[in-house]
Amino acid sequence: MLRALALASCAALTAPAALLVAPVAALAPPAPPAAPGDALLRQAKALRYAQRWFEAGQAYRQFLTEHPSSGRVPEARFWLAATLESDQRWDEAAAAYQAFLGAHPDQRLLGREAKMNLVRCWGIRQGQAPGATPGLLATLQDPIPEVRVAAALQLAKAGDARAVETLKQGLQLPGTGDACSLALIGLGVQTGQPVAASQARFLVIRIKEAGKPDTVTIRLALALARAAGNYLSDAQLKQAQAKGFDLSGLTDKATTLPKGSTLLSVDDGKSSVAITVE
Amino acid sequence: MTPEPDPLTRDAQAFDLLEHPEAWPEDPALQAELAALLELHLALHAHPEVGEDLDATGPVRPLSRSFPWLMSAAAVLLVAVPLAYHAQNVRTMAEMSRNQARIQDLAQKRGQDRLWAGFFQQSSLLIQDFAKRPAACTSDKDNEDRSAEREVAFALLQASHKLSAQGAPGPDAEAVRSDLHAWLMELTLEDPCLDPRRAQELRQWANAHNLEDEAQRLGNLLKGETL
Repeated sequence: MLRALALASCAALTAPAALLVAPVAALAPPAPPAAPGDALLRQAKALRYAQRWFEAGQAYRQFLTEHPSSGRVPEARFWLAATLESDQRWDEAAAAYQAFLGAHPDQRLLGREAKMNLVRCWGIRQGQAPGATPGLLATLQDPIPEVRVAAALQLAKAGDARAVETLKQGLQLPGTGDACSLALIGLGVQTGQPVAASQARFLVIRIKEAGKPDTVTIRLALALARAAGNYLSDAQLKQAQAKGFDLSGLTDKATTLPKGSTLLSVDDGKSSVAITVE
Repeated sequence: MTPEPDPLTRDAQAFDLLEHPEAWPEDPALQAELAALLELHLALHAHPEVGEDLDATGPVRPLSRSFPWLMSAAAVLLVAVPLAYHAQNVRTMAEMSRNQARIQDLAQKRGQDRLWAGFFQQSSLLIQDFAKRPAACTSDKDNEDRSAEREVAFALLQASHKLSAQGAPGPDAEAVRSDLHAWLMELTLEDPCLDPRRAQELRQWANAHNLEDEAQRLGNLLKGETL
């Protein structure tokens, strides 16, 4: 009885204030009710932001144990794996990403990111963890081209020539061409279309360094033409730009010009570089 | 024990043998060589003035008698000159090969550094943009429209994956890339219509790790001429 009275008097005291804020509250959307475990996820995120990876991982594990049917389970699984990765526990992270991908194949954005991160973990563990290289090789068949290229780049970093075909495909993908051409050159691969020798074309880069008697000649297949800029210093690149030379259109230009044509000739005082089509 | 005959006597005996084909050994190869020498010997006899010129400057020794020495010298020259040429050629080729490998390595490093520099510079610009006050979302006026930044973050995140696969130019570059990667991942996985409190968290995170300055510093460092 006393408790009921007390509540009634409290309600009476707060009524005017409630009336005052009522119009404002009516405009704002009602705050969504906190889902079970939200506080735990917030805590895990705060720990992650503080780079307290181990505790963050424990918080995510606790969430997964206590709320296995929550709608936020995919998110928790993903961040658990990411936390393990940040903590450089590569094998555990790889296993956690695989668990996430196996349990939630429908997650598009998180799934793609999980695959890329998984490739990274495997890449770091190549030659050390038994599942790493086979995992990367299997990923060369992934439906997402960028994921395939990421796996091929990791294999190429370890000098694995099985990456070559995927890297060649990566030359055609937007945003991956530079990385793939560098990796292919690193593997000592010259890519060229299987055409008759009379029709085959190369970029020939002749570099004459000041104080050296010989001219160094580099031959690049047209598919790797984008790497030609790497043979130019910054000063030479600026010269090329000042001449209106567009390195991004090098392949097209080299295809249309007759053999023997000089595409570019620049000199920065330290070296002179001439690029011809042959 | 018979004394060793002096070289002149040995040469004389050899020339005697040359002038008596009936005493030549049976071996056809040897016979052919001796026949060639005989031919040369006879030709020199037909031009004695060559021998006279030589005799005027030294002790009396007919050219025909010193001929084996000349032949040996010629043989040595015949072997030595191509060998010396070959050795020089090998040295030149090795030097060129070393130069080519060095230039290839430098070009690889230059290409890699440029990719990393581009990533750091664009990340730095994105963090700058993220600090600015954005437009409100059309659907929810209380939230920030971060769709443009989110798209850039996604592209940079993909670039970060590739850079990670390629290997870093240095440990500090890898450490900053890793921090940027985590930040980019957070932003990419957020709703494009971002809660201002969440945006503030992301800004604070970037500030706490000094991401903008570090990215700018490394971008400038790697963009510098490295060759």
